[in-house]
Amino acid sequence: MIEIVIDEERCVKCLECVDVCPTEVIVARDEKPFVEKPERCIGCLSCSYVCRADAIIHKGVYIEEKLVYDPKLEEKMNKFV
Amino acid sequence: MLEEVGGRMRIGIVKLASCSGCQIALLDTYEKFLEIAENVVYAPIIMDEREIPECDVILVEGAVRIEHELEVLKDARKKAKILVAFGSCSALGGISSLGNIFKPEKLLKDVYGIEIEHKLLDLAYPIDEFVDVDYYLPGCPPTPDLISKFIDGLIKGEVERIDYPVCAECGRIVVHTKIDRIRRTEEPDPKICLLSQGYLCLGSVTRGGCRAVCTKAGVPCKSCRGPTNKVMGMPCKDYLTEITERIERIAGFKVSFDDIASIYAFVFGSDMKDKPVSRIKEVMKSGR
Repeated sequence: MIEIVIDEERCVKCLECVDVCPTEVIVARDEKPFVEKPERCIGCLSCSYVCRADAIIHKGVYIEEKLVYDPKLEEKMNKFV
Repeated sequence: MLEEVGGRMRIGIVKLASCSGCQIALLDTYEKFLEIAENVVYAPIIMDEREIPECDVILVEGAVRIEHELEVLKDARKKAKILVAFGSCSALGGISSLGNIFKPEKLLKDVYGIEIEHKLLDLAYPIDEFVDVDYYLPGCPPTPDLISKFIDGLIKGEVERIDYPVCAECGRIVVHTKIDRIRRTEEPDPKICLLSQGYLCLGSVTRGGCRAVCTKAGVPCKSCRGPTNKVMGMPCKDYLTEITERIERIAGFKVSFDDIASIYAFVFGSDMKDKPVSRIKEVMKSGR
């Protein structure tokens, strides 16, 4: 099971994650996103991708997009402060 | 890691094509600057020193526009243990590289009208086109808060990397609407997301850390700190597509690429603007 954590301070309540989740793990409650059934998560990371505030964290899942992996860009990205 | 020479870290500040704003921002750190003031050994704006001495850290401000600046930059790289691209001009091209729209001859003719000694390069480049850079600290200028944290990090040998968008610090609430037109100079609602109100705010694709000073005051983000790692490493999409899609999702308004390109000006001279969109072809060729 993947543990999903939503950072309440960062969340801007746009509810994009609710719309995009294919297995309805994240639902809207009181106009806020809420993780209801984390055992259904298939780890597609769509919610993390659409989140404009980087507020959704999947613990233990590392995103690696092999087809666009560019070592030069990666190196440069890690130098930004 | 920094080795302190004679018990102190020596800092140099090198200025290339820029407005000196970043150096002023460094002076704006008040107490922090007093702490490190003794360590500054080279800074043209505040002290009289001709040659760049051996330094532990050199902060390079500004883009490379004339040949003289290129020499200064290469000299700085030789003298520095750690070279920092300080401000958006040196990290991303910034405002200096907006001159790339015109040819060098036209720029010289329009601005000076006479022959000058310096020879212009064909474009204004961010400094990583010519030398290796150890850290990038973008911002126009980087806020005093960021600079203090960065210098603290350098002294400790552990620099904190910031990789979250401006939205994470802004605190405005998104309302899904369909806006009818783009607004520019009206009074925005203080609690609702600027995009939902029809202002072209680039906060969602911009590196944070600035405490969202602009958007909190009702001014749309102009992306002075450049793209976040998420946007940079986005597969199969360039920046402009990503930004237009985000705006469309939030505000229900299709913005043209040209509109975005005209306000996404700080990465104009950077190679990141033309990042490789997809590597599928290369991967298939090499049979990996």
